[in-house]
Amino acid sequence: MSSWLALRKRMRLDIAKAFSARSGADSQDFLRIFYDPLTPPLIGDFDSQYISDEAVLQEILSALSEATGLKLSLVRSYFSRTETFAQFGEHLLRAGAYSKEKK
Amino acid sequence: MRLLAVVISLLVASSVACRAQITAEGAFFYDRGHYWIELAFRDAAGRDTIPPDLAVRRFEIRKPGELSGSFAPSKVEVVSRDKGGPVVILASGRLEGRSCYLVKYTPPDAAPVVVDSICDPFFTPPRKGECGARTFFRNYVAPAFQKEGDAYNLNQLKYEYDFSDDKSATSVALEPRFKIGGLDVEPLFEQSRVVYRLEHAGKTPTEKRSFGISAAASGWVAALRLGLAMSYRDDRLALGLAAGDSVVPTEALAVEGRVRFDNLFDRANRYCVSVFKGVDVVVGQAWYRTGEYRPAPSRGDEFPNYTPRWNRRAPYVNLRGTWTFLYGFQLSYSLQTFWPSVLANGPTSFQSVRFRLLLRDVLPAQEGRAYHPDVELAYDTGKRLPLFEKEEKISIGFTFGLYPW
Repeated sequence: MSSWLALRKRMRLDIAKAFSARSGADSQDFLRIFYDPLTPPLIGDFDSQYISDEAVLQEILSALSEATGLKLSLVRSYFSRTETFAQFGEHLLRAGAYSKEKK
Repeated sequence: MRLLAVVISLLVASSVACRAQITAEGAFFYDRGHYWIELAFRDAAGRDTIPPDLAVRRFEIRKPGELSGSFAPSKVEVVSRDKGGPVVILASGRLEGRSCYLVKYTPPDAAPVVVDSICDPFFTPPRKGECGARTFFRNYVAPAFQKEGDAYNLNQLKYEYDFSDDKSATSVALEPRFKIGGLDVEPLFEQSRVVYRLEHAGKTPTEKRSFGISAAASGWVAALRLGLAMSYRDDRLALGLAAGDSVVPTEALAVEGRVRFDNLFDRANRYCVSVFKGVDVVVGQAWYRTGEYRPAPSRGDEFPNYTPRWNRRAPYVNLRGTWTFLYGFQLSYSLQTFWPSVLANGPTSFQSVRFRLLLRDVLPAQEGRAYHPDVELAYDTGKRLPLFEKEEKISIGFTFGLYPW
């Protein structure tokens, strides 16, 4: 079992990787603008600017599903445009992200 | 002389090394039904380290910006992880969700280490320029109905149906909670309709309207949360009798002290499938009066037959507790014992058992979880203020929590 600090850092990078790779946003810019601020913008703000259609969103969530070991339907169920990326990541961690990995 | 200088310089160097600043970072997280703080310490070289003295008294937790209200954790534990270095876990029943905390650790021989802004990711600082309606909803409406806090006192909007043979009952209750100036203020509105099916009198409908308000102040003293509450409740029971309608008004005023023991269950709450919370003892005194208005047959005026003074008293004790198990089930129990001044039969009691099915994890859609209804099965039996009539009720209700966590 990893520490919660380590899990959060890993989730932060996985979310940045998944969302930036398929949306054209730079990974570092994504973290600086959408993830790390004390009052970050909502996912909906990113969605409206960078995610072109539902198929792209599906790819992003599939990549996150693969990275976290959670079912795609579960990842999708926690995706809410009215929350922040950090909150989305926290939902996934509480749902057991990375817990199925071999120790 | 030179040897003495070398020894002194070595002592100074070791002292500086000993006082070398360690640093720490922290995370606030939710696991096994509780909130925790995780701290990772690093030495001057950036290596993971665990300070030698981790006594509880060396830690101080408080909310940033609040100079008072600091508390020590109830337990400090070093946990080794498979990945990453060892970390320190702070446990306390006083940690609240959607909050930020500052943790100060004072080593025995070094400067204090302060880690501020250890925040729940669901903490939302006020946004500038936000529209007033949204701010009002987030600051007042949503917290009034969220499920955190007193688990046995459901902030509820519910519908009940009574399944008993001799009567049918429906009721709607609204019981939000607001924080105003350090007080927890809870207004109560309840409307119920009970139709009794009596063999000799046929159907007898009754309408009951209740209004109440309570204000409570509470604070921590060591590991216990102490509270003082005042409440007022006004009930109007309208009886539809064959001989003419009548109204039975009752009023009750109560003052009570509360001692909450949640913090003492921290050790037991370390098991993910079993969490105890909302365990407390309440001791109070109620003053109440009751009477009857019956309209005169000819003129329609009301002749009050009303007890004029608050001359009835009822000291009472209430034991309450809530147990959440297997993640999705919650069992609450409350036992109230009254010693009313007007009953000659001695003390009387009222028991309430509530079983809740927490649906947040089984609802598929995010929207469904955020406004999820929990199903609640309740069984109430006994006699209670203000009428001390025999009650026995099984009901199913739906309660709403606005937050998924």
